[in-house]
Amino acid sequence: MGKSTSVLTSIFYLVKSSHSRSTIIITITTLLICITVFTMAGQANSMALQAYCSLCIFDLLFIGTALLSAWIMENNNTKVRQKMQNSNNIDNNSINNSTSLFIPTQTITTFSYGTARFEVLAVFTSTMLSILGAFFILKESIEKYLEDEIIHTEYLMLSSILTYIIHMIVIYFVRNQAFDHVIAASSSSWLQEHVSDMFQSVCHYIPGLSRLLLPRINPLALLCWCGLAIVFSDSFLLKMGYGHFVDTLSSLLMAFMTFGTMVPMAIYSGKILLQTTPAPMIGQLDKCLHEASRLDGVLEFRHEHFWALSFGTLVGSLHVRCRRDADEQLVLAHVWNKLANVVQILTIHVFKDDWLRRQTHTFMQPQTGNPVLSNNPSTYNGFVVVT
Amino acid sequence: MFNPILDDFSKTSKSRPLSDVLHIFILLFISKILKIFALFITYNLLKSYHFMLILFLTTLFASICLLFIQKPFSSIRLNKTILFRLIKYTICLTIVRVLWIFGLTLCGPLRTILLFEHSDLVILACFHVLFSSSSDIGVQQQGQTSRIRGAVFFILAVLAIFAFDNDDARQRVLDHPEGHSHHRLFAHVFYRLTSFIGVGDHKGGVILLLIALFIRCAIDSLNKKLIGDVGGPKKFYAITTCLSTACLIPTSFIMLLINNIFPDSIDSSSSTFQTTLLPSTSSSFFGTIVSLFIPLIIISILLFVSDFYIEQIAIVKLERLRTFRYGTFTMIGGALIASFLWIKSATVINNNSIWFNGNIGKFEPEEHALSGGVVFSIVMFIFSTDLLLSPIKQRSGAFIGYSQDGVPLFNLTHQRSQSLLLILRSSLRDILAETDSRRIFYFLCINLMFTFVELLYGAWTNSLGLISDGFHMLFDCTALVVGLYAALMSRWKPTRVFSYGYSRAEVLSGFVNGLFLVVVAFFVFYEAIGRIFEPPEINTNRLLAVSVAGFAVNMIGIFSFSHAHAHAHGGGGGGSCPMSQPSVAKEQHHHDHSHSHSHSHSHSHDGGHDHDHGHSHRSNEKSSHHGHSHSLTGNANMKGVFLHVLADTLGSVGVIISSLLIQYFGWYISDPICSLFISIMIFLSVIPLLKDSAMTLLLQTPSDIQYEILGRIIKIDSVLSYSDEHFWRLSSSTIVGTIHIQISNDGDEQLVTSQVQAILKEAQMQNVAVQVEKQVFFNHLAGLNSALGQLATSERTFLHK
Repeated sequence: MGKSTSVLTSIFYLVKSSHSRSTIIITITTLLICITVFTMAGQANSMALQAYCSLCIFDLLFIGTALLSAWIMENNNTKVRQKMQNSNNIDNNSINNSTSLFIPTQTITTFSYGTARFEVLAVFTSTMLSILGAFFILKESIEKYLEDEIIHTEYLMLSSILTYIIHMIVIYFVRNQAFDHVIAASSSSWLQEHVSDMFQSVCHYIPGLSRLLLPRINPLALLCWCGLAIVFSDSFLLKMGYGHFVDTLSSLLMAFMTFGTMVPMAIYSGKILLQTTPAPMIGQLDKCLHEASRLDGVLEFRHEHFWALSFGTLVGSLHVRCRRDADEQLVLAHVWNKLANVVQILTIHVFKDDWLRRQTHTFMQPQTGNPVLSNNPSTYNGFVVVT
Repeated sequence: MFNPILDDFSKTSKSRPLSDVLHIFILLFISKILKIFALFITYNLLKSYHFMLILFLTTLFASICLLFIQKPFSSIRLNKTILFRLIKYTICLTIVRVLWIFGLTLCGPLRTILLFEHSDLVILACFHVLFSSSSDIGVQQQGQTSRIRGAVFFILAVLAIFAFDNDDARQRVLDHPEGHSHHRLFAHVFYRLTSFIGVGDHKGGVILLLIALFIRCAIDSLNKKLIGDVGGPKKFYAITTCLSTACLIPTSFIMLLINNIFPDSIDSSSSTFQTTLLPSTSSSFFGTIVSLFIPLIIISILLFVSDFYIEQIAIVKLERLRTFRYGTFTMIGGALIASFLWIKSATVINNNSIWFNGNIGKFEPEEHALSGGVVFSIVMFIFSTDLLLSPIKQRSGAFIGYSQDGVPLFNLTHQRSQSLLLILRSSLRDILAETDSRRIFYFLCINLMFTFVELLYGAWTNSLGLISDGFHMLFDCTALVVGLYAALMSRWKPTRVFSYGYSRAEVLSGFVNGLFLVVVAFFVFYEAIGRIFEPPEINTNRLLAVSVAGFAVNMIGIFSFSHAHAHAHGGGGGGSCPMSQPSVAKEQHHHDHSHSHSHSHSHSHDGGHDHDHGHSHRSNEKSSHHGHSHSLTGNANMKGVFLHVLADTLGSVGVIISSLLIQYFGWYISDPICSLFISIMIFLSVIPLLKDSAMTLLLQTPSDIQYEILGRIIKIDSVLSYSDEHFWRLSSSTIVGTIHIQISNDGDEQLVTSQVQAILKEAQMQNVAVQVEKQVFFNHLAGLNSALGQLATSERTFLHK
């Protein structure tokens, strides 16, 4: 409960701060437009319009993600500031404070890696919600087609234009680092690919347009454009008297487009949530690991876990088996040196085979008193240290 | 299977300059135009004669011509197998032609050309794109996207002809008052069939033409070897034409007999061509035949002889792709122009001769006129032909890189399809291997069965409510499928990218299922709000029975899942984790009974844990408590599936209550109110799951990891401090921990490591990495001039000593 209130207060802080005032205005307008547009869509009884208006809800989620990433930035800044202050304090009265560092209540936090991952989850949630919403609309439109109700075309134009305007405003005027990163990093959607392919062939004939058409298009904006075109042609065809089939078809098309746009982003963020190594990092990591495995004293690597914490932060843990006579701290330092450039948060576990046997004579006495070690000696037979 | 077409696409390097082959182009163009002309004449003839007769006579003339030109039987030795295959091919060809000409009678020449005159390459490329491109992941061919677009355009074009063509209005008005123009046996049977499916005559024709097209492509591509065996395509064509004439003899004689029995059926609709001959059918039979023969000979030569020969020449001189491309373009464009001209001339004539069946009261609107749908589909067909017949830049068996195991990868799509059955069988075995997935699978089967029964019954009784409810059930099944897939996926072996294995997929799928429920709740809420203001009239006839049946099915699910669920929850006892407390309280009433024996039931996966608990129980009272609360979280995936089923059950209950209220009291408003309640309940019940799985995904430190562990680590000999302690839950059963430990210079790293590991393992951590640092380490790092990363804090320990 306390956590959520603290989140709320930080959001209120955001509201008060001047730089995000435009965001707040946009949020409120989005909310209002969302409500009006959805009532219109309900009145119009057209599934295509509903599918298009679900972009509004996505906009709300988008703004939420933007706020969250702003909050995380703010958090990090304050943390850095605190750290600076802390270190200053420590410098001033180091001996007194060094003991207080070890009080566990301070060091154990609920999110030991910080709040950077919230962004990833927010992106995943918003893309997943819109995918599921598109899926739901798919099902609804089939049901509507069976029910065969009358569609009022007079609302189509107005509400679709409203949605279009608010979507464009939200996409281009709300600063959203998380989504920017995901859009840049994820593989392009089928819509983007087809459009760029078409534009390429257009530029083949009219080279002058290449500056305008060839750069990668923002998939969300593209979705909005295509959706607008679909709703317009839908309303045109409905006025021509082509019946429900048009509406169903265009809503299906909308749903598939939303699918296609959101799926690459959801996959990208979902893969981060599944603790995976990002594909572009694999080559670089392999190179570093290869170099590190050639170091003196290193026998092999095991349990190499490298995963992305958030966008652009890599976390790794690694078990290094080293020669029995090697200096562990030296090996550790060398391996660290190789990997620390790529992996931001690193833990290297150095271990040796049969270290007990060599040192039994010196450490026999204290060990007999230790119930933990005597309980399961089988663990240390051979080199199986970690299960 | 796709080898030949891929070969065709890749053979594009040698293209001759246009001036060399210009005469061939012109020849091709003329032959296609003539073919269009012939088709229009055929259509006119078909109005007055039975199509079997026309087909028979044209093939007869064509085969006579071909016999003279080619002399196919003079030099060939046919053995038995080739003969057998030839006969098989011929029968298929005959069926294709019959379907084609019948489609022509139904759809008119323009649409027939649009639908039927595609080369095999287009269709094969279409199929190739639709069915195999999805399987090669990550292969981004340059030509692939344009291929996909071409296939989509093709489908859209067919759809446009099928659905957006106003042509069927005429058909429905004119042809289907029963018994007036359906004396022909064949047409009558066909009419019965199409009306059973529920499409008009014209649409039936479209379907027939498509079927004919697909069969043609299939037999042509499957019999490429046969052509070589027989000795060249020309000879092959001649032989098959002759044989198909022979095939047509019996049927056409039967048709002739039937037509003689019912003489009026020879001409049921007046045509521009035959108006004068209409009244005296029997007397001037021979005159009819004579006037029939001249156009027939023209038709047969144009359609079956000249077109074929010129196409063969063009294939040799130009290459295949270009031939087909320009041929199709010419056909489509020519057909468009021809139908324009034809319509104009026909309307002029039609204005003179009023439709004999005067009760319509207006002039016959020109049959098979142009409509927006047709124009659209023409554009789409041109695009798709262009895209699908454009040559592929790179060969399909290309080297695309290395796989994760370091094996070189070649993009050979056709090798993957063979083991589909094997994949199915092995995945079924995997599903049945473990309780969770088996349970989901069985329930999915029950659900699907219920859905299909519902859909079938709905289609049988023509009840829309049932059908849409069936769709709803199908929609719900996807959640089960997601759960099943995640349960299956969680057992996959770790790979290079998924270094921790796939067990996290379960958590993610639980989260996704939770989001799914949120979406469902939102939409139900939205609909209910809309309905509160204007409650619609609901017919509760069959609703009650269906919802009771759905309730029963869902109850099965609840009981089967709650067993597993209660097990995961029941271990908690005290419930020390505040996070899952509300969900326990919420579901308590559902499975009180299963709580009592939840411990006696042994679970393969939780059983291992109980063992662990028992072990640590003796040593430490407190940590055993932690062990229990750790299993409290349970499996997020199963929980998600369970909640979904629960939500469905709630929905059925709501429907039952509201339909009872409507039936007995007529409170139509009870329906939206019920759905409001249900949506809120779904939302509330899903929150704990969402929160739980989100916390796991956010790498929250498990709440049962106590500070006391860290205190014990600090108390180990020679340990100065620790930093970067990260403990997080990988899945419901695994906790991963990493920690950096700073020790004094005289301490032994391995001893400290093993002690820390032992402590962490006692706290149920399976995956531990401990980095032991001394002062020397930082000196080394400084010497190496290395990046410090997150080490700044741990270095401080040594700085301030």
